[in-house]
Amino acid sequence: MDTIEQTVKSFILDSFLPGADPNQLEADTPLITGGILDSLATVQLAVFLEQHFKVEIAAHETGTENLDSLALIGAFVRSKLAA
Amino acid sequence: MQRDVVILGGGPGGATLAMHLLAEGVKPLIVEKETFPRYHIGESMTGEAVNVLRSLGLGPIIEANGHPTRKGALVLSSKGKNSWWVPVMLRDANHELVEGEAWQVRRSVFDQTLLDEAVRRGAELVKARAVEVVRGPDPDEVRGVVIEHPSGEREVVHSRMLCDVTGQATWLAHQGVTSPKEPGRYDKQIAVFSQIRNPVRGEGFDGVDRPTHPDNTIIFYAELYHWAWFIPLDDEIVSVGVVVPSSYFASKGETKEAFLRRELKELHPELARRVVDTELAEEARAIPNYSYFIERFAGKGWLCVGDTHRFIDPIFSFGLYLTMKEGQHAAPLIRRYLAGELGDGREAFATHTRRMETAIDHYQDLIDGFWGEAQGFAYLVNNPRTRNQVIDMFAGRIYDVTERDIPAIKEMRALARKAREGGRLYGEDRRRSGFVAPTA
Repeated sequence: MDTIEQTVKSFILDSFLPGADPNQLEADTPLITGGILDSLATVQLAVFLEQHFKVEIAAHETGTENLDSLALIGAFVRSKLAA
Repeated sequence: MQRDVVILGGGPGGATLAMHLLAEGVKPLIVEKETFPRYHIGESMTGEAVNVLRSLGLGPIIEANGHPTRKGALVLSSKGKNSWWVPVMLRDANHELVEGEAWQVRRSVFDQTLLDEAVRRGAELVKARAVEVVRGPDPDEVRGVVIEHPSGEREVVHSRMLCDVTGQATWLAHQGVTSPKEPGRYDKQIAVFSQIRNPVRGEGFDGVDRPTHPDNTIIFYAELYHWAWFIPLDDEIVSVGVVVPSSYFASKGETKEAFLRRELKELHPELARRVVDTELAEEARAIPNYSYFIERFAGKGWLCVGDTHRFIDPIFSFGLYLTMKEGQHAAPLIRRYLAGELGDGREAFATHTRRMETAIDHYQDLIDGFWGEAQGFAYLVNNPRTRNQVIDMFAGRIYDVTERDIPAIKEMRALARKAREGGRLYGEDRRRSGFVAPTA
């Protein structure tokens, strides 16, 4: 995993999966559709991404198309950083 | 008879328009068919609505009514996880956000207070029914109205400016004066409402914590287009309404009362817990097809104000505010028109209607985004970057603002576009792409 994915993985484990086995959270594990992130957690994740990576994420970008797995999140944040 | 300005409708829109006009030195005639006090729905208002009323010097007499004041609105989803709180906040002289509050009004009392005050300040009031518009030589022109007194006697009232503030009755539209009244996006919804006694409210309120204040508005949503309001009107009575697709209401085959009482117990577990006794304190009423718009709502000698030309959805209680605010914007324009400063008025009033529409379009985006993209909407409400901007929009600071003033407007618009394209919202609405320019 890239450092972005690692950072996000740590945030999700600490915030929403305390005590869970880190190996169970893989790059393609479905986060929203898999029920790991509920609506409130998704909001918290998107705000974390904005603040930690100093990018701006618009409301319409906070859906499963960008946030449903660590791999998607990594690609999304990288595209923001490159913009 | 002949009057410079005739206002159709003596509700808060008509009464405040009259008072704004009086402040401009114009003495209007108000035509109201009902005897006040009378029941009306639409009990909650925004923070800026309070500012409109205070700007008219109405603060003390409204406060004397003892209306409760909400500190904000609590929106509770069925899963509880997508719930949020929007406080009423105002902008002070330094443009800093400060805590505010807004009256929750029993409309029979509030509307009478405003109408009485308008008359006390010099407005003329006639109890009569408007029956027919008096047209001018131009097809577009209005020169007055035929009214019918309670005795059945009819009278022609000639006017230089006829203001339609009849609200959902949309009188000038029915007279064929405006462009056709067209269904809005939420036209297939029905609101069923009444009042209940002594529900549980304000638990945990310690006198400081605003979200638990007992006089707050609470919005419960069960699923798309299925929600309820809870608006305290005094220490005992709370206004409750359930809004659902009309097809759902019809499928239940229940009376309005039976439908409402059952929904209060089934719609949302937190609502059910709060509603101890479902016995209704008022007749159950219903309004179907409340969502509509009229593209062209001003012309030579006439103007529609507030929900007389557009109503989207009752969910965030914007209606009462929009109507009163539009009257505030219209009054100086009407004074100048009467003084001959605006020619035949067409251009000035066309500009005015565009300003009003642009503002309401922000609410169309907000409401469409809320219904179609609840997740993204919750993000906008809760993100520190955008939260204060969303608070500004909920408070009513939507006139003459651009995305430079409130960047969240742009985000709200993008979210609404995604909602419309995502197929979850009710289908076609000619307003889907925002403002439709009125045809001159």
